[in-house]
Amino acid sequence: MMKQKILLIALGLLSAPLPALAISPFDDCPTEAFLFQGSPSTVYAVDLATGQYSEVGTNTGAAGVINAVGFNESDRYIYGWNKSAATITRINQIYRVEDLTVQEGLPADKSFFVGDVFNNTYFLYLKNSGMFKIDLGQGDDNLVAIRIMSAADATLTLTDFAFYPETGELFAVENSNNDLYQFSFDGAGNASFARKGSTGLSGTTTFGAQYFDKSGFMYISNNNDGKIYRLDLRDLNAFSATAEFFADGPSSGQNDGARCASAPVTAKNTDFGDAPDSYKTSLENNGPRHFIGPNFFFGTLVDAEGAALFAPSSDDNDGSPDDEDGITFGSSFKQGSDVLINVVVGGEAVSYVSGWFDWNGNNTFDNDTEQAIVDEFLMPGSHTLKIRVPESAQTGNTWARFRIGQNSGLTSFGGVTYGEVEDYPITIEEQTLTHTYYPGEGTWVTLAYEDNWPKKGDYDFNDVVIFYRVDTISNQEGNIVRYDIYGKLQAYGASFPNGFAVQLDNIARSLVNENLSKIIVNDKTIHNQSVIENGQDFAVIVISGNLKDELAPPQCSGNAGNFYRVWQGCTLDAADQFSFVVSVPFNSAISTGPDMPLNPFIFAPEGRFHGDAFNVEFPGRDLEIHLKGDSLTSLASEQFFSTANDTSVYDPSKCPGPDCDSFRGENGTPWGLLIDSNWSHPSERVDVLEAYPNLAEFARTGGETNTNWHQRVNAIVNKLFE
Amino acid sequence: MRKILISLSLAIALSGCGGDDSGGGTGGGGSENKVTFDQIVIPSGFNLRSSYPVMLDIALNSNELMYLNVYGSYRHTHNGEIVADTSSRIIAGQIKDGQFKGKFTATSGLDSVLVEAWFLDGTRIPFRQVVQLPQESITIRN
Repeated sequence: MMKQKILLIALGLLSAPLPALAISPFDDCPTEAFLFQGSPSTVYAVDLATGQYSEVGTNTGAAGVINAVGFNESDRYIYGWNKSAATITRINQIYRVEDLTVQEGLPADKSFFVGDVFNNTYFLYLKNSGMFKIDLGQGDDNLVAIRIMSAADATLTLTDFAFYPETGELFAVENSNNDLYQFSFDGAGNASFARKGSTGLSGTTTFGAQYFDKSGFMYISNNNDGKIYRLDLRDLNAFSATAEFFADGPSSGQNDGARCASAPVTAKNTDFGDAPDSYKTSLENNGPRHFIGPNFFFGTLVDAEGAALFAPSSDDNDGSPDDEDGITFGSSFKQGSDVLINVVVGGEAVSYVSGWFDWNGNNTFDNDTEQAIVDEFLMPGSHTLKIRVPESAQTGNTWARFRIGQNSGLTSFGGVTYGEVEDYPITIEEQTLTHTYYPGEGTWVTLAYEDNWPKKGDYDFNDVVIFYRVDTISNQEGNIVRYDIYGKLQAYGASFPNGFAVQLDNIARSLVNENLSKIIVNDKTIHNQSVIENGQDFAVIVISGNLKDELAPPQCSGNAGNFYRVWQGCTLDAADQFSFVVSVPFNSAISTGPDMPLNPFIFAPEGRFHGDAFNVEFPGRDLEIHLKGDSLTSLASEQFFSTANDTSVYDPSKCPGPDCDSFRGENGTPWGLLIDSNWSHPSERVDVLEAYPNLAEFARTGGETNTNWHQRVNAIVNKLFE
Repeated sequence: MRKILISLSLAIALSGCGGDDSGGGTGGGGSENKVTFDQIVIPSGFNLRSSYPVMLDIALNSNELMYLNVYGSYRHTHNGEIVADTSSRIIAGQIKDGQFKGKFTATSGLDSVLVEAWFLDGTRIPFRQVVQLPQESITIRN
């Protein structure tokens, strides 16, 4: 009994007329774009300003894909092609389909996925089938399609097109060449198309959703990555076909879009920048903007603006909350020097941070040359980043822009869901610098070490091989403000682990500006790595605690093991896996510095085996191997001199200095070589004299002859690694 | 000679057994007939370095701000002009009131350096002088 009642009630509900809302057209001309994705289709409303999207319809009533959708401003319904029903369909404001029958005029057995509506007429296109139009004003029972382009003429590879608001111009971006095309209609209504230019986009694309807004901007959405690009077609008499990234939207394998072209694109719950609009700040100029979410913001505040309020009338200056609260500058901007940028990541999510600086003062951000912070992936909390002001930077007032978001690849403009943009005025100070390069701005000397000290090595001098360069930067008074040390690891022909460091002899550690010291490894600044070693008297720059950790495990092997780029004939291990630039600025400029090449050395990491020449299992930081005649650092031990094969008599009172006796073997043999060129090192277990015979006379004569022993022309090439 | 050879062979054998070497034990690659690097007697005090410091003193008869470039490599074109190899630049900086004093480190391969002083307006031919090396100091006057 009870069951019967329920059934009756249910039948009653089903037979009752649907609420008026269900069969109604849209109330107005929506500002969002609508995406129909998947099979069966799910409908999304997309905020074109930021790419923010939300699901608005999950049950359209169609069994499969809905394509070729367009918004009809005459009756405020969306029209599309219902693939499973093989007919056109009308979609109401609750995103339910109502299939319509076209009496004649459409080719049989074809499925359309390109369409749009203009002036109460539905246009459909299919490559190699033609273009057709259906007058929606004929009444549902009298719909007839008229061919307006022949099958032979329908050669464009399209997945959508869009009508320009008010004028009826039809545009499409083609998928095979990414070019913009315009369709024209003759007096009889027949369509033809013409190429209007390149969008500048490349790669494989499927622009499954294409729309216009009221101003005449065209938006194209790439199915593959969801990126929305904008074309400025506001002036149809003079426009460029170039497309610019506009926002990140949803991606999908199946995608079609409709939009009421007469609606403006508006921003809701959106954060904008504050720099003058020449930097692209407003929505009209495709300024940076983010749909505000629970995470991905700087500091503690992020405010929403309906439109960008930019300098000199930014909301930071008018009493509104100043949400530029996540970035502070720890030092001044001086031409040619590094700056400390303190970044506070608010919220609870790991975020990507990027930053742009108008170095040349041309009131724009050049994304190729003026992005100094690139996709730093930062945990919530406070961070210090270091960037270099170009020496050519324009002095005076300019702007910096910082963005934070959940994805990498942000540009200085364009909309992205979730994140924040903060713009700051900065002032660049003049600074005149002189660079003195050793050996040259783009050339190298080579450091080559035997790491078996104090025991003899095999003298192939490829245990550690590093190309090396020093840039001494001086101010106008000739005093040294900074060293920039460059290097590239060339070979690692050793089983022992070795770190690499450089001591600035006689330069007290306290003279170095430790906060501004930095290291760049493989072109990436390691912001959180301190390079000035603690506990030292003189400044010691640790470039790597263990060079072996900087390399992928070597694939090339020989009878001594798997070593990096020493086994002749094996090229499995890529070159240039570890390159570095380390900067060592001083708190105050120093009047003089040590001679070149400074004091570079290798050292043993703690707790690692380094041979049995020692009275302890692991010599650790006690063990350093320097060039002959160079001084130890204050963390190293002197106890290994005059042991094993070392015969030097180390006197700390003479080191550093010209009479420093260190790392000298029985015949005066060194464990390290400084070579005046970018040297081709010997193959593994090949004595350096076999590869470079002239070294013998150079060494024997105290450098009086054969100073060019290291040049390739003097090498026995088949003894080299290369 | 025979004794030396025997002891050398022994050293190789010992090293091979020990297994405690990193980049190789003694004399690994040399054949018995060849002199190995550690057999070369290096004069006392010679650290096998051939780079050396060079003092540079420039005084040009000019009150203009100029830009100094010192290059280690350059070439002569067919019409006699000198074109610097930019990667070989050793010094880059301003010359104020015609005066510059500095120091650079020359490598053994440098036969000469090209000293250029450019006027900042870019309309006049720069001051150029080639200076032969080696020498401990370079003085330039015009």
